[in-house]
Amino acid sequence: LSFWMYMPVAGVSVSVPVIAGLGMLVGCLSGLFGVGGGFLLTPLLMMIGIPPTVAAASDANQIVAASASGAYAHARAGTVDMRMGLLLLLGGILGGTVGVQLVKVLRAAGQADFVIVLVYIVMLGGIGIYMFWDSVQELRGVKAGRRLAAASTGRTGGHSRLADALPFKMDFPRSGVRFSALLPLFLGFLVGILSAIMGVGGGFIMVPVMVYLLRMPMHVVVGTSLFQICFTCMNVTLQQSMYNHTVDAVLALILLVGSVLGAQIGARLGRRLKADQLKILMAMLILATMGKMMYDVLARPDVLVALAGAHG
Amino acid sequence: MNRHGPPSIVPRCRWPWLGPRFGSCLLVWLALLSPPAAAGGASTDAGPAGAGATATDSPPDLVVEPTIVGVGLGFHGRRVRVSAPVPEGQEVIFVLAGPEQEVRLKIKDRMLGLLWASVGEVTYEQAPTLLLAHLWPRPGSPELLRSAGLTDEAILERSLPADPSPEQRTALLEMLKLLRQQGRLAVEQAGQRTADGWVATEFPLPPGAPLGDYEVSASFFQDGAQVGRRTSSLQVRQVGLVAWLSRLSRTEGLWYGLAAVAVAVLAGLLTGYIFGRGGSGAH
Repeated sequence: LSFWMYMPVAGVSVSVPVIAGLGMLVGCLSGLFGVGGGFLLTPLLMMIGIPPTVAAASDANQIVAASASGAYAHARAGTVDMRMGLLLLLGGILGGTVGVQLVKVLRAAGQADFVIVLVYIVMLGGIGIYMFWDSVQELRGVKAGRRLAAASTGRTGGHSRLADALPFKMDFPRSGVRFSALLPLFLGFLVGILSAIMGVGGGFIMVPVMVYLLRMPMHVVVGTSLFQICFTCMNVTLQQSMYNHTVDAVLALILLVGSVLGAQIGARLGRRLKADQLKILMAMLILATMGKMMYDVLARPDVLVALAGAHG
Repeated sequence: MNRHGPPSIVPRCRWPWLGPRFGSCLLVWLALLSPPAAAGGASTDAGPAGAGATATDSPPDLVVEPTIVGVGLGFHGRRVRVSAPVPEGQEVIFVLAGPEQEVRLKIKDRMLGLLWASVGEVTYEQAPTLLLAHLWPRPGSPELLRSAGLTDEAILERSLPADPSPEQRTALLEMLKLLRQQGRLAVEQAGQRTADGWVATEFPLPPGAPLGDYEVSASFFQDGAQVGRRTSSLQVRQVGLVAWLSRLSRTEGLWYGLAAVAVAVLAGLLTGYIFGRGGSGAH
């Protein structure tokens, strides 16, 4: 059996063990952190020669499998907040539609690539640094002390006061929180815009949003995130197949075989780690990806042109 | 006479509203689970053919093996053998030239004086996609390469529009660098004389070789002057499952996408079911 396989839509030949290995790595992350892993896998696929548009579209397709597997397991364990997930999903679909139009406008102005890279660096950098700092504080017990002090004085954060002032309050019993339905809709909308610009499912943005802004417990965050990602990526796969014809069936299949197995490994690893340890690992991964992207845009490329379009 | 036409290969579906196309897409997706050879996607090549080969017994004077390169699931580049009779005292340049196509290039430059990003796009109507040249018995002089159209300047002259802007010229030169990196542009000394007085060489067709009709040529030189030229052709095309999936993705996007989603969901749920409570992320 040849280890190389030709990808019909990507138009390149790739190593099957490498692709399956990448799928496994990303599946493992999905099981560990509740993220789709698109933010990591798409750049990795591009590095091994898959055209960017095919990498993003096929990646979304394989994320459907990994997230469906994870969301199913979480639904059985009762750790998916369906009400929250549906509101985030609705906001995300609306935001995604607006984001696609925004990308069209930027592309027409010749600024799309620059904006995408900039958004990636700012988002990954901001989230990574915040998560890392927050996890270190948690591990040192500083935050617990601050929370106790805030509880004794009755002080709340700015965003909590804003959330309290919004209408259409709703209970989210699974997450144990109560706030306006507009909040997850709006946050889902923002994440949807960013997802469309960055071409990913948005789990790595959604997880911190649910943890830090919606104050949901971590075990519900992972299941709800996977639920939302699964539907978002179904939508992306369909849109990309219909309008850009960039979903590579063979590539997605190899990736998903690796990722569904990796998701199981990630789940087992996750049970052995504490929430703070998980967060700090996730932060380090995000910062490493940001560092690589930063290097790519700061260092002078060998060749000052790139082929435009999917087939090269 | 069969009034009902050929029997359908799509099995009866319990949900007829899904339509036969969804069924066939799904079948192909599932067929991908089988090894490449079983899926019918292995490379298939046609045998040798020669320029000047006619129905008579006259020997061909430029032989290309194979003349059709099939790009199937197992394709990872292949070698194309080219041979021609070369009289004593003559030099020969074998050239394998890919189809010239419209190419769009993104130009990278510094934005805000700091970040490298795409800042614009240029389009060429007829740009080279692959050009491999083997010179025998020695590396050609700059004059010889120029007259054979193998220098960067000669390629630029052929590909640039009548009144090119400096930006178009620079971008095309950068594209030639890119082609060299991808093994699609190379001019080197290669080939060997065989016992029957012919000279043969093998071109490494890279895994990312563009699809289409290629021109294979042999130019003969004596004392620096061209004394003859023979041409033949080579076709690189997708075959089997690769061709079918590629066509389907372009012509039946909705059904292709639905099948892709269905297979992914099934694979995910099946794994979740098999692994039971050990599903992903249960922490």
